[in-house]
Amino acid sequence: MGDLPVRRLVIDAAIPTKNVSIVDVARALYSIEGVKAVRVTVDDVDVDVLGLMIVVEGDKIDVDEVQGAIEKVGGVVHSLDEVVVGDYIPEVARE
Amino acid sequence: MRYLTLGLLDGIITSVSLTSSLLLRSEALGIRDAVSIALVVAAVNALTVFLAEYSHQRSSLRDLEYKLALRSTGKIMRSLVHRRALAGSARSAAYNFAASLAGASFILLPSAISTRLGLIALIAAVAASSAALARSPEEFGEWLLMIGVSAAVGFLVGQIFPIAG
Repeated sequence: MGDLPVRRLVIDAAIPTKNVSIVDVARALYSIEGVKAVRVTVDDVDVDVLGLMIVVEGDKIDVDEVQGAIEKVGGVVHSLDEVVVGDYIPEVARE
Repeated sequence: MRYLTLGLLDGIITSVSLTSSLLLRSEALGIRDAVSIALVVAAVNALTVFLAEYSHQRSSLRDLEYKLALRSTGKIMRSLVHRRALAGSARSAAYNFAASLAGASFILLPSAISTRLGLIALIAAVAASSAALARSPEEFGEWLLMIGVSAAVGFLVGQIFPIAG
């Protein structure tokens, strides 16, 4: 997926509550080439696990590298919930 | 805090066990021997703490990986979380080394001057550790009893199986 002009990713992920923080996740993702901005939101709190909603935006984002960066901090990707590819980010139609 | 307390008490009790035969026969240790025993006690205690803490952390990480991913891939062992757990184990071992060295030196260095001083240091160490751990006068009594009995058992074991001297 390296040659696709991926502009935006929304990822459902989880990290341990101990020894790692959402700042570490954001830092690891922001260090990837092509990533211009990262938003990490906690959407679920368990005893040992934090559920996260991660938004990554930029130019030509390498999806495998993003997944690898989350795993390198000790997290896992549960699902890829949104991918935007192209020259611009299209508006989501609202009813 | 757990490893500081453990190190201090371990240092005191181990050094009492190793030198109790000398203390009872009123034979003073040499300074060189006292320093050597204190360093060996602290190093052995710190290595034990490192291995115990790291094996506990590894086991917790394996459980955690299963909770996160519902399968075990071993990827968590190559992650930042694992490196921080390893660093945490090393930090615990370092604290334990310092506390063990302090506890052992507190008994062994006075013993190197005279056996009488060594016995006074032992009583002072038991009282000081009890005071440091206690949150109330009742707890002080409980700690005094527990640490006193532990030191006495260590002393007795050293008498039955004498090593130094």
